[in-house]
Amino acid sequence: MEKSDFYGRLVLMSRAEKNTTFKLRKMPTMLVSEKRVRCLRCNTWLVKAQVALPHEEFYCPACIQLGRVTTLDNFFTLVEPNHFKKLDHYLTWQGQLTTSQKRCSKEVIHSFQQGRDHLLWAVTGAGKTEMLFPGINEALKDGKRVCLASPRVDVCLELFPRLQAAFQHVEITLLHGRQTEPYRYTQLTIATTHQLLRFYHAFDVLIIDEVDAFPYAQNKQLLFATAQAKKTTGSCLFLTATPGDELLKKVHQKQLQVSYLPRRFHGFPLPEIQTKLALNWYGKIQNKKLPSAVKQFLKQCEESKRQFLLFVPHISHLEFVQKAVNQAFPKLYVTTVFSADDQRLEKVQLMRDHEVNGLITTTILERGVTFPEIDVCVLGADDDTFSSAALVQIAGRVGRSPKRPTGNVLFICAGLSRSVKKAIQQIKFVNHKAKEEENGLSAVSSPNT
Amino acid sequence: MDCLLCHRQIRESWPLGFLMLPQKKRVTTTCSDCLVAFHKIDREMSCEGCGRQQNSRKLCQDCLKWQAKTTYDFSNRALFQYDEAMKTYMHDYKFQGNYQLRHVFDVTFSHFIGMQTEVDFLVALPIDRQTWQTRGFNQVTGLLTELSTTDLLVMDRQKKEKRQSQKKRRERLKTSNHFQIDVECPEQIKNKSILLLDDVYTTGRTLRHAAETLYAAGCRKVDSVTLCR
Ligand SMILES: [Zn+2]
Ligand SMILES: [Zn+2]
Ligand SMILES: [Zn+2]
Repeated sequence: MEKSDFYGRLVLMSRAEKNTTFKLRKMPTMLVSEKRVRCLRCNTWLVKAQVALPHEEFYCPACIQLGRVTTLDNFFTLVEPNHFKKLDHYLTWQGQLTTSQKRCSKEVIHSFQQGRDHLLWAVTGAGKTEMLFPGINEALKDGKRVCLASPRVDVCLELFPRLQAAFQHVEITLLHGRQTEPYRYTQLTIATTHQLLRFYHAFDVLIIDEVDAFPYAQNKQLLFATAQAKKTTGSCLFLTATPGDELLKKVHQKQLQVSYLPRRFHGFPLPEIQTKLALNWYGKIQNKKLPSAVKQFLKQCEESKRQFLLFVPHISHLEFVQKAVNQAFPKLYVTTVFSADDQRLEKVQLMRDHEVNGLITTTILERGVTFPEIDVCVLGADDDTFSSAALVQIAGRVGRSPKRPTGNVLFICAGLSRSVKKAIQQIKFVNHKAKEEENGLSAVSSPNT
Repeated sequence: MDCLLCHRQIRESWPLGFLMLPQKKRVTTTCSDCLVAFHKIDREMSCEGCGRQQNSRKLCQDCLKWQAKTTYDFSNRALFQYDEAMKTYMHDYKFQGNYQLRHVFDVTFSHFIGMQTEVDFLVALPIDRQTWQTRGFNQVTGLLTELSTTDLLVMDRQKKEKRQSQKKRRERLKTSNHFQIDVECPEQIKNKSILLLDDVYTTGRTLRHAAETLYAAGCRKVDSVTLCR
């Protein structure tokens, strides 16, 4: 192995391993207490009896996908030295930022310079990736090591070519679980958040995209990985369209400063959520009947010839709803799609080609799958499967095009659940922020949730 | 408890009236959805020599070659087919080193061994020092519950040599024998019957090396049982 492979990383090697030609720092892999052991890579506490190997040795099944952590091994590491070649130019991107993007990017640069954590709350369709470019540029110029991480592989795969195009002369390493290329030491890294567990105080700047894509329990592990992967003097930037309670609490307690990007790149506010109550919506579709609110919604779509997405909570509802729609609106072409659907891509293409009027779906579909001028209806929005983050994402599908920056977002539910209320409130809040910005007010406040 | 393979909660369905009987508690470790992916070998449709699944009890091509080459008596029986599901399992258990996964098959495999003809010694194939240092467990003894085995053999592989699993089939067949007898008094095993235990029967090379060593030391009969073939 090369020396640079150890910079700011946790490399597993046998306890018996004699040090290589260069001196390495050796650290234990697990903390062994009386009844439990703790993995020092992923921070999971494990019951000794369940993870014991013969001869009083232990291992961690929790992060085994990254290579097994056992007491038979040690971690070897070297302090991150920031040995990077200086370039004349880093950012080759020539685009322009809007006024609010510029403001946010200044605040971000400031947080990097001060070495503190920061939250960027950007609505869907605000152009947050471009907004990051100046911040990354400044950090690279300062010789800092930078990582952009997301919980989702598809997001990493999408970000990589965009960053490579924006920083043409900068070497970028892309790290995710399905990869076979060996690790390389570079100044800029794009990685899944899972891969962060392999780092140890490596990054001066760590940017976490879609920090709320996962529920709270996993978030705790993510925050651990984040803290371990960045330098103690480094800064962490959290990006989100729908901050969860944990981050908002930190904002309230002034532990975390926040920048808002409340306006879409075309300048219009997010369409607000309308709700209609339909007590027995499920009983109705089972009898192949549509709640009247859905009928009205579809009638409008039919008359104005607008495409739509109709969300339902479970795969099992898809067929009922499709039958009910076919019966009530024989002239509308609809098809159903779900996340594990083999024909998902083809169906999305049908929608893009306007071969169908709408999709009945259980899934938000991938990032980057946008239909420019649609309306959206969520049937059973109060169902547990829809988190407030998912509902905000769904609402964010509407009004993406400057040609039609508005649209209908209708939630049909038997009652207003906490998630529905929170989603409504969050959208109202960012729109309020957008107005404030317009009026030149810059007071930092946050919603009461 | 959660399924060891898919991590979903196992919902056990107890037939009505079942609860009334005092039952010895048996913990289910793997859900039925995961278990159906593995296929047991039908004895009546398996090779008499190596235990592989086929259409009859006749010796398969590989076993005919062994028969021509060797003079001693040896046969293997296996519980499961070494198909895609089993290969994935072995990868996770043995090579990734997820020792917990022994509980997916330990009860079934031990029961299967218990059903074979009675022998004097059960001998699990040993692993070498280096494997103890890296893997940290013997994958065969991991699969055994409450069965007492005797360590008659030790394995001494030269450091530079590859492991069996890293070799191509032809290379494997050429491997030299690294098993040695490890007993204080050689009289102990004279004329005794032995059942060797291993996880996978692939070419049969390793198991036959062990058998040859034991025959050379005076054992009367040596056969083997493996989890899969
Ligand atoms: Zn771990
Ligand atoms: Zn399962
Ligand atoms: Zn055979």
